[in-house]
Amino acid sequence: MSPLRYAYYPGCSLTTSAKEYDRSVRAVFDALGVELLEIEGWNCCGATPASQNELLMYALSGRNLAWAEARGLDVVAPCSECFKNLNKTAQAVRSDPHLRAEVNAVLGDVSLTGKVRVKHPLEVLVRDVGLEEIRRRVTRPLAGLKIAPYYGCLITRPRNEFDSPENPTAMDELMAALGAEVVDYFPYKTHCCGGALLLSNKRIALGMTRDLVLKAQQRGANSMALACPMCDMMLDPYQGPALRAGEKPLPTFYFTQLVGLALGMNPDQLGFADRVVSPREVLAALS
Amino acid sequence: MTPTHASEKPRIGVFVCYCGSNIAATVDVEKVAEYAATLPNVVFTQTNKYTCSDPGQEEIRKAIIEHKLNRVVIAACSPRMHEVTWRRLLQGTGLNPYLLQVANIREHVSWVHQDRGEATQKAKELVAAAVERVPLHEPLEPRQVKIAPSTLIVGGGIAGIQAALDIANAGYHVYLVEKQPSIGGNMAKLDKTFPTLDCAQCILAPKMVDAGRHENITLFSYSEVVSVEGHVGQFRVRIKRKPRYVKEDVCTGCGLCTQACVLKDRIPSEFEMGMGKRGAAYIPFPQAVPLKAIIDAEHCLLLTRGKCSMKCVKACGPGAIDFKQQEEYVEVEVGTIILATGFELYDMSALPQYGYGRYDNVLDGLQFERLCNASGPTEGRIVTKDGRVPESIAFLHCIGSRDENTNPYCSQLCCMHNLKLAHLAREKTHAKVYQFYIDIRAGGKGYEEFYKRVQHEGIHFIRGKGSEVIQDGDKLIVRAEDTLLGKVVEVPVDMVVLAIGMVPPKDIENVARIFNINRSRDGFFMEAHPKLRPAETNVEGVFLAGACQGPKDIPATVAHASAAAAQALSLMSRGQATIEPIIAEVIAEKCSACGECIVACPFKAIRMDEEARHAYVVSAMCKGCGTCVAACPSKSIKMAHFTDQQLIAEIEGILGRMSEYELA
Repeated sequence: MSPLRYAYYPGCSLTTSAKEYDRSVRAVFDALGVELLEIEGWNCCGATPASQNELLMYALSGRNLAWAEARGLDVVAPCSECFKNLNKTAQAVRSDPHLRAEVNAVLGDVSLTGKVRVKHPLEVLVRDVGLEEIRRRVTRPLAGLKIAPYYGCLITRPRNEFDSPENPTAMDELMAALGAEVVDYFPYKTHCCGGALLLSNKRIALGMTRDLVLKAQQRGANSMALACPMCDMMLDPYQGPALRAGEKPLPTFYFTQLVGLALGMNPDQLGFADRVVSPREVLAALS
Repeated sequence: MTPTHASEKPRIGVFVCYCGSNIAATVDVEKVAEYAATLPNVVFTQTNKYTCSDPGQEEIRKAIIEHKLNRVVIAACSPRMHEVTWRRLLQGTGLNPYLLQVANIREHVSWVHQDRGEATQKAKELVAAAVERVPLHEPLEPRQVKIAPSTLIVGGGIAGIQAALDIANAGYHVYLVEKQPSIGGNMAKLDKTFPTLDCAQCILAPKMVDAGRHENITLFSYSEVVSVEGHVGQFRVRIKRKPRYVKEDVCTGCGLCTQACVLKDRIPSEFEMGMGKRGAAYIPFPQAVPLKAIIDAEHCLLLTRGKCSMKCVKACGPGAIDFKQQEEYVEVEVGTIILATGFELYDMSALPQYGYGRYDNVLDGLQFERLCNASGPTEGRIVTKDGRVPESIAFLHCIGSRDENTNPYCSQLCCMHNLKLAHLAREKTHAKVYQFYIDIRAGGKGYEEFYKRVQHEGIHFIRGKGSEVIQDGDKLIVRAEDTLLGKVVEVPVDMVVLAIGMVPPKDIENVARIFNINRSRDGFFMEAHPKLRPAETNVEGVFLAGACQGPKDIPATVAHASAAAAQALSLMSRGQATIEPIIAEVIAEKCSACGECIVACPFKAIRMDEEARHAYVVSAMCKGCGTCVAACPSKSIKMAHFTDQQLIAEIEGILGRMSEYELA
């Protein structure tokens, strides 16, 4: 099998608030022999202007995709918001010739056919690398971790073949392959983290976050796996403000941090030190 | 035999229709007629206000006789509309009906163009095309086939039963094939029926008994049709009779074997929608027809493991149990076929958010019917899985219906069904009842009145589709956006009932293939015309009854089934059917027996004569679509009434005039 290669789109979060996500994705992919070529001169995925101007969003996403398409590479985007926008653009450009012409007119000297596929790193690990291979590479099984796999709202959208939007299971399977105990976190696994309301209605947003933490604990979880910087914002730094006095915090991790840990990497290399809710106690249980 | 003037020099009459103002408002009808008079072989032209009316037809009849016309061109509406009318008119004058050509200057001209000049020009061109073509028409003779006085009905739900009784009562024989061990279908599972609240079993059971005992009905229960050959009037049907492991003619239906079975009350009952249990030897339900036991080969210990104490055999007085039974095949010949294969509920595995199959007290409507039913697993007590009387019940509408991610169509009866279930819930419990709906569709006799009645029974209507159901301790939380309040609501209840959409049965594709009929976009069988031929199919002699054509409630199903029966009866009472002569014919001398046409034919109407080494068309099955003509590499198939020469003449008629037009 020829080595797996992808165009890598970090997006703004992974260079700022979610640096440990970026570090752990790169480290894990490197360890598994998956090559990531960072898109040269990548720009915003279009998340912020999307609500004002749809064509602008498509064009911003499209410029990033065109770089990958020109090199015959599929795109890996770890941030759920970026993943959703890039994926939506690829699907829309592929199926709508009028939109394709419009987007290409904006792009000018680069052009896009929509042939490019956009993948979340979860899909690459579970489908392209494969659970069998990952299971084989595990040197530090995550026995003792009782993980609630939390997908958030975006990584199965727009609807695609990869996983069910209502009851996704890829992360459940991946965590089980790492030797962790996976708690049944349906239906909360796709419930909103509240992140979209953080600025406009903080009280409601924090309430939603608290609900996710308590529900995971009720189901017996001692940790949570995440796949989105926005969810991380709510469930790590904002978990403290969300919980009430006496409520026990729940350590949360990017799922790639957990993969790296199971593959035997040094926690420092994976950015565990950046976690606000201290994972020390739960990780101490690991041998 | 109709005399024709085909061999004489063509004498064409052209009749141009005003169609009131339908054509005349956009096309200068008089100019078209004047122009037609200048065309070759045209000896007479006339305009009519309504060519299809009695006076209009009379004018044509007179002209044919007076002017000795031997070809007729009518420029009017689509031939799909009145071609048959005018063919009959020609026949009445002694002309062969196929010496007619209709130029469509309404649907193809006046209704789709605005510019009068251009529309008139196009009408002229179409008339010219018809005038060029019609001299090449050959007189054709329709063929007659005998219709065997018997009907195959596939499916023994209320639709199949109704159609079977209608036909059997008229004196024709019916073979009723049902794949389950008993007839009755989904209606047999219902408690009461909306809006009158009759007991479903009380109105259905007598019909089931009638169907089971009728001298003109042969019932094949636990059987399936495996193949059909032939054509209208003479279908040869092969039926597989699955082994019941109980001799039907010996079993008295006493039920002692079902009591004796070592697996008694261990296997989820299909009839009880999994809410009750049965044994491996069982009778589906007390009113089953035929009232015979059956042994479930998938669970029976003897049949699966070869080892059992066989208490059933010991219990059976008459010795009806026979573990040596094998599949049997029966062949019958019928003149007509009615499909009444019904519906299934949408497969909920794609909608995990409702917890169906995951949480104990999330039910579908049919399961709730079984709870309400006095002969059901709880003897009519509405209780949760752990035996609590629910304090609150939520009914969720449109699950797997009216949803782009599942089925875009409306399943039509669930609104009323949910209202009825809500009524039963209020009658039998003191539960708070919620209806989560998009909008209530209560179009039907007495339906709106029933809706009003239920509204006054203290039921809470929440306008918003339930988005998910979450188990929280003993409670189920229903989430929805209340679109009247404009906010998300979460309602804790003890039981959730989902109105799951109706979909075609999983094996519908196979059934469609066996009977060679089409399906519409929603997956159900397609009728011949959505308004005017709702019970017919694209295959002559094959009719549709009930929900196999689309979601229907009981009144609509019964009406549709009786319509299908009437269609079948009208064919059979005539005793013969006319077969269109516009069909393909293989020119045997030119045919190389390559078989391309057999592959191409969508109606399986072409066969290979292996001895003479050429293909041939089974004329009664040919629909005249012309696909084989295009597929034949050696041009050795001729399509009557659509020969190459006729089509080329038609094209030349248009193109010739076009060049004149462009030069002018």
